[in-house]
Amino acid sequence: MAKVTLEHVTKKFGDVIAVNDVNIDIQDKEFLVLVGPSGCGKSTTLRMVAGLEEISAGNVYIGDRLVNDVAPKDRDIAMVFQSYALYPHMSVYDNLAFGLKLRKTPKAEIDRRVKQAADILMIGELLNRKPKQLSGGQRQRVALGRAIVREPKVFLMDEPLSNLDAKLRVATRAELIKLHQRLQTTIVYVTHDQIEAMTMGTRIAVLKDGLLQQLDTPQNLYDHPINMFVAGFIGSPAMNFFNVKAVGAPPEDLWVEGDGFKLKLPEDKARKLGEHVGEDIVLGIRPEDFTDRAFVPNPAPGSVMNVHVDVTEPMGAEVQAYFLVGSHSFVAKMESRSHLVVGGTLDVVVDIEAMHLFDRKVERTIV
Amino acid sequence: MAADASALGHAEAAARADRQRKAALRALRWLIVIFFVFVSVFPAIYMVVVSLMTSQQMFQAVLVPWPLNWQNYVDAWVKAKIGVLYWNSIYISTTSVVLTLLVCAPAGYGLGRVKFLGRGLFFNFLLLGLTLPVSTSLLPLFFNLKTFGLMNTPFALIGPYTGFGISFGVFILKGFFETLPIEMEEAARVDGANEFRIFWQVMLPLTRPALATVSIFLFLTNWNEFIFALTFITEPLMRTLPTGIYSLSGQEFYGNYPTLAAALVIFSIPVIVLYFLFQSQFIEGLTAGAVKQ
Repeated sequence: MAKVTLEHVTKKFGDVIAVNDVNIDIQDKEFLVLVGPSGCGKSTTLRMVAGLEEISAGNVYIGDRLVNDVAPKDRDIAMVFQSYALYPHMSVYDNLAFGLKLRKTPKAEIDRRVKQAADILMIGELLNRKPKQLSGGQRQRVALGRAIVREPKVFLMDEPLSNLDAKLRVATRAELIKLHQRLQTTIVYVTHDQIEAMTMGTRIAVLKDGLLQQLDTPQNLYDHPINMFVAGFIGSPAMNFFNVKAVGAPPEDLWVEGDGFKLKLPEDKARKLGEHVGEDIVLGIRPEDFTDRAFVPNPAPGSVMNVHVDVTEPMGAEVQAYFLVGSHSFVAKMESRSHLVVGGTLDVVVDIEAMHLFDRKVERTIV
Repeated sequence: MAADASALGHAEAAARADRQRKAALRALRWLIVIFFVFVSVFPAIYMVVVSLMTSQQMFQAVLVPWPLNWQNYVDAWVKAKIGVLYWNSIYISTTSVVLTLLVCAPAGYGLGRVKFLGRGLFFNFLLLGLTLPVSTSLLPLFFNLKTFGLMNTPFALIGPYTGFGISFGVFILKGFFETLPIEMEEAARVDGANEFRIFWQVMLPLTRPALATVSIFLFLTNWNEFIFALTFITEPLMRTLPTGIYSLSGQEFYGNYPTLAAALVIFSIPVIVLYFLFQSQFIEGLTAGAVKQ
């Protein structure tokens, strides 16, 4: 059990800066998820914590110990790899026991820990098999087991679920959450999948181009993204962006005007907009913030948009609808009872309290 | 209707012609294959057949000997002292292979997976050994062995065999080590293994297919080697099988082809056994299941 601290951590590969001045304080027993598109430096960051990658600048602490120059084996960490990296010539038991044997753990203790991990992961009956006799999901469990038996201070996981099929991935996700609750260990988890990040993380660090964009709880990332990248990355389907202008008289009568629509800003948002009135800004509305006008008896003034229905994708519980307004195309998650006629028009109500406004030049959040 | 029927007939005839042509092609293909199999296998089969004949039967051009004359094998083993040569061959070939592997495995690992300055240059230098004709080193080796008094000792062959195997062994093993997934090495490193353990306990067991390939290839090369054996060993009972049988062809085996054939069959047995024993190792990818491909 330990906290992990990354202090101005930078990694350069030649001239390429893979990780740029990242600061993250990972609390003890926290499940921290590093998320971002491929090439954002999340795996490199994890590997620097593991000691598999040298740090170009900055410091990494595990607990209170500076580990910049400490070998991976002496960092008291365990890592789960995307490809599992099981030892193919060893049985499952030996795969689990390998790390303990190297540490000269007494035989009885090794046996106890292996059996215990096998119980937790329900792989007890597989202990004599070789990795190639296991299914993908079972291999994944063995890889987890190899980390668990070591009882490390910190678990490092590099996209451990990405080789599983969709159904198994969802199931294993839930099991990992349970495992974290049971083991009460610090976990640093890398994924490119924002749903994995949202569902598992105590906090999430969003990275892009080697830079830490935002570090916060899943709900805060969703509700208060710091910039357009985070706003677009977190949430599925992604947030819709519209180029708009703020017009009118703040704060009571301020509107955002885009191509083919005009929405009224609530007073508190209008106040915060301040000097941006008259400038080009970006309006962000999440797909789930649209509702069929027919279901809203008294919509707030200036919250209705008349849209053209382009495509609908019924999902059962809801309908994913692609709308056109002016030159904008956007996606909305509508209730399945909504009156959607492809090719027709529809009045939709926007949750204007949940709107986001961004500076178009620097792409940072204004409101 | 009539036009339809005739069109149908045409189509059927065309299909039949097509089938016949394909069958003829297939037959031709088989004939060619059978011919080449026959050409390559017949001498070996004939060798076995002759080894079970009496001299008389052989000169009468009998194709299937009966009764089988096993005495040839006894004669070859005891009278021609093939038994002694056999031991020499096995001992020298095997020792050389083991020594070569002891050098090649770590060298291949180092060149394949450890980054160090001059790695490429060093590897290219090693590869020069592959291009060197064996006969060019015959004289220098001869004088060296003579100077050190090693002529007519097993080392006169073990040394050169080991050395000449290294280029090939390193070449194959380096290539194989390079293909092993890096995660496996990293997993072992995180698990607490040092560089030697990663090599010995994790990576080396995975190279079994490559080790088998190299071992068989080198063993066969050593087993069949002639020039060095002929030059460095002159003592009859120190010889290996190829030169031993060769030199006996003027004495024990003179005019006694069935016994010579029996000696040759005995000579071939390890080769065949080795091949069948390790065949699966060639094919089996040991990393199957380690990493999701």
